[in-house]
Amino acid sequence: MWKLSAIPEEVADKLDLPGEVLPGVPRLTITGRSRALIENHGGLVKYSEDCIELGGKSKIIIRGDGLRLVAMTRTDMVIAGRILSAEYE
Amino acid sequence: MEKLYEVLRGTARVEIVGAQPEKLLTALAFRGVEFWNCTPVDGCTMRLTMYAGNYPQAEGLARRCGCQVRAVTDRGGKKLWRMVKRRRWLAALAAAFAVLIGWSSLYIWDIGVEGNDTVPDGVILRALEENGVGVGTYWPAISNDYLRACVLPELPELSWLSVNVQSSRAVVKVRERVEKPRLWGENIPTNIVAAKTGMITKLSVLQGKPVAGVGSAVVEGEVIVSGAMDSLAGGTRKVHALADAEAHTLYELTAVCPDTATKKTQAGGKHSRFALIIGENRINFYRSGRNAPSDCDKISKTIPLSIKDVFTLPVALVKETFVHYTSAAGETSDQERLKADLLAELKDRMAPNGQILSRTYAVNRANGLVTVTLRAECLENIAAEVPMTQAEKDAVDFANLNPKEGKNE
Repeated sequence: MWKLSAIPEEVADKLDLPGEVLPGVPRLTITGRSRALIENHGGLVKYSEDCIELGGKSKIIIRGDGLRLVAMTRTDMVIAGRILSAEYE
Repeated sequence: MEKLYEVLRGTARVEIVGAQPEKLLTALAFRGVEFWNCTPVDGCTMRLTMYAGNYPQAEGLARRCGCQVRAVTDRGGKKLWRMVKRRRWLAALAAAFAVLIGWSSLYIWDIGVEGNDTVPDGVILRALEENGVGVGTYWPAISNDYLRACVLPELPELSWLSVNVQSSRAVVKVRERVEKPRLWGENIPTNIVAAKTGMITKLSVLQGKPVAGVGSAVVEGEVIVSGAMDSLAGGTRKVHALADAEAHTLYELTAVCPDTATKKTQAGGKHSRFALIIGENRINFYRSGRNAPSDCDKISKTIPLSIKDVFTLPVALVKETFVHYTSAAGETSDQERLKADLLAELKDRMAPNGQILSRTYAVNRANGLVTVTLRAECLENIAAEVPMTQAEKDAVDFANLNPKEGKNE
């Protein structure tokens, strides 16, 4: 079944456009297992030392030990700590 | 620099308490309120650092998100200004320091050279000094084009040079001239000779006339494959010989060092003295000369008055520490070092991809000296291309012109 929100992604896919040009699509960059940069995040939903949950179009859950929010701006977020997994919901 | 900015602007450590402090964090981020070092204390409490000026805005947002905020600590900013207001002399000192930094940043106080491998730093710095660039130079007046025009003819080993100044530190970036590679023309008549004395174990000739074969013993410089080749059309033709000659070679390398050496043992006592360097002048805070007392190791440490990439002042504190030692003659234990050095030397002398088949060391102590000898048998390519001499070429031409005489000879 078609979803209206999925149309831009479908169009970008057909036109071979990079995903990051679409509005609201988060981009996750994990360096080693100790640092993660999330661009175009949709805000913080849950924050604890072992789990950080981000909202937005597609929810991202980062699990780990001693997770720490190093910095957060309107678009970017830097998380440090021992990252064990990154999940999409 | 970032820290300095934070201190000047003032920061506050803020504690957020509420059912969902995450909501406030999101609201702060979306309103463009900068915060960092956010750490959860428990499920309902978090702590973060923000600029003190943003605290009232955070308070307002907290009310909307159903949270409470409280400043735990604050530093810099207004607190700093209040302190400065109370102590006027501190403000005057800071202003004087700022003026000093501003003035000194227009001059070069430190020079470094990058990108040179063969030309020493000193040679480049001397050439620059002769052309008006040194410690104390007013850097806005430096013209890189002018410098290149003056310095590059003096240093032909360099192909390019540039002086970049950052906070009173000049970095001289240089590019060294790359030597033209030596080209071997295919049409140049060439012999293959033995680069080293040895016994040939494998010979593969691509072009040329083999003079020696497998099992032949050759001495250094002896022709293995000649560039004078019999032609199918009759006579002899000159070619560029191409061949690989693998041979067993023998090496005997010797290194000598004294049997005994003086060893230092720290005696325990040490003392320090200080000096101040201002520009090119040195002020010693001690009476004795600059030479170290006997039986002392001198350790000098220069602490420049600078912050990396921010400012450099022509002032440095020098700390000289003297560590007393006693010396006693003892048997040297340099044999292993000599063996390692000899092995490194052998690897240097061998052709690339050569193998060491066997090696033995002999150590001999006589007349107060330790002699270490390395004998090694190696397998390596000893073929070396050497252009034919004019006499060799003439001999081939002469034989071609007078085939009968050539045969009689």
